[in-house]
Amino acid sequence: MNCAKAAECISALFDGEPISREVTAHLSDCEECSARLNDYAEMGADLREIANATGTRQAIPQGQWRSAEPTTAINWLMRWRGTMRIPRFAFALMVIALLALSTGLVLTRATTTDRWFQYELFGRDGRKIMSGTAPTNPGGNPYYDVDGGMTYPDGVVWFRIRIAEQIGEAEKIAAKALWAPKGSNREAFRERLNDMPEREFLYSPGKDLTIPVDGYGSLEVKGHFEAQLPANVRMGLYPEDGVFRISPPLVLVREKELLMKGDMGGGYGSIDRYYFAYGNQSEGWFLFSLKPFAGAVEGTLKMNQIEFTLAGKPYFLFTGDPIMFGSVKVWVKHYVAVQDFDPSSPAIDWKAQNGPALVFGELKNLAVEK
Amino acid sequence: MADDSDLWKRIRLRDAGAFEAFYRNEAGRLCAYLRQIVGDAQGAADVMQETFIQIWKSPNGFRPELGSLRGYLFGIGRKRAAEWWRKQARLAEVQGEKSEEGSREGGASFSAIGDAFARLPEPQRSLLWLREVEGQSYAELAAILQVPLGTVKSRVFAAREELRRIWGSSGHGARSEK
Repeated sequence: MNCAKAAECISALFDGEPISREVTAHLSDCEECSARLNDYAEMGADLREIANATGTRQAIPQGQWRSAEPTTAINWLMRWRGTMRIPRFAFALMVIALLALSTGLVLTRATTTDRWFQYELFGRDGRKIMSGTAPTNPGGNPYYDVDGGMTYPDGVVWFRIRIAEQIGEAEKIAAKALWAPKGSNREAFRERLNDMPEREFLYSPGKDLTIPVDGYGSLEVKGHFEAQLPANVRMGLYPEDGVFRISPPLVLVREKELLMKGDMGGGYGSIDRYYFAYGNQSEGWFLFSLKPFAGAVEGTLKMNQIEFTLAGKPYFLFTGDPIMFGSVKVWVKHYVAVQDFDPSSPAIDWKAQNGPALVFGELKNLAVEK
Repeated sequence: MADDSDLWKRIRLRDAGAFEAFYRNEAGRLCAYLRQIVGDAQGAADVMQETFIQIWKSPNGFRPELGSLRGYLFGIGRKRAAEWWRKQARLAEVQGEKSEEGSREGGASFSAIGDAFARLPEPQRSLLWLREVEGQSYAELAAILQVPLGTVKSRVFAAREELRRIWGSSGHGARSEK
């Protein structure tokens, strides 16, 4: 052992790190290394003295953080909820024949809508881009958007069409459309759709509607009204009438805190017979039912979101697909363990579970409060 | 560590009282540390404020298992200080000026060790301040500087040796002349 080899160990020793016996032996016999250790000690003490005499004793100014808006945490949830409102169809860059997002609206709208609007959208070359079926939307429901894109050798036309409102025998259609020439940033153009104002058109059944698009030509809409929802459209985005469906991922948020996120398998069941519960080991269980039960608080189920309040704090549950169509009441209660609400359910082995769990059960088995 | 976690949880929940306490506890120490990096009292105060604003606006990224909340704060402060230097350099370029070491306000120039310390390169000054004054462990320094533990050990040693060399060459560290 020589001084050069021992030096770094002496620095570590000064910081409380263990050193080898060999270095210890060298240090006890070496004046130069002893002097190094003493110098380190003196330098450190002097630096702390300087710190005490300067910075840490200075008056602390008023924190400017108070005037800074905590934008991220708050807006994160708002933004997220906004974009999670309803899953949109993926943009298709080929000739497509999509059903409109309104597929399955029969669940609640079938009894209230007078008719259905079946339409086809054609491009500038007369080729069909897509077709859809939507309620005529007498209430102006905002969820009926359809998004799409069509590629051409010289660019892409992006469009977003909303079946906006039934007005007498006609249907108001709101549309945004944009032409992205070849070589332009396609995605940037697509994003620009968000900022564009809608143009409104009044469509009369049996006639053609022309939607002019700068630089492209025009899109054509042809359609007619049906008194009944076609059977092939009924099954789609929403579950059948009287059924709720839970699709992963499941995300539970309390205020702005993410409580649990799970990507387990989903399930579905009759709203009259079944409940579902979502929980983990640390937060316990949140039991949800479309039927009221004793001790539960009332919340709101809207598409793929459930919003409720427990102990004064707002909660949000998000699922991967709409649970049901529209906005309905839901009842929620918190429990510590599965057996607290359903003795017939097997206990969860949290060690094997590795994350939150989703369970379904029959409402008749609920251990409701007397 | 448990206290840090609790405090962080409250900060994430936008608890202004908790953040004010955090600010009161740490602002002075952070400012003193930043002064060693930027070499300017006003600049250090500005960077300190920016550091707290950043955490208040975006309270994410702290991982208790990687170190203390103070270490996390100092790590962000160090990055903000680096940005401050880049801005100063651009400003100097625009103004056609040369950034002079002597134009900076000395970190602590009223003692022999202070003089020597002020002559250390900034990374070594920053590192020694965190180790000697703030008492950050090697593990915490590794988290702040985002370098391996072994690198921290060798860099601390190198910084001490450099300080000792400057101190000795100025005639103050008599023992180092042996």
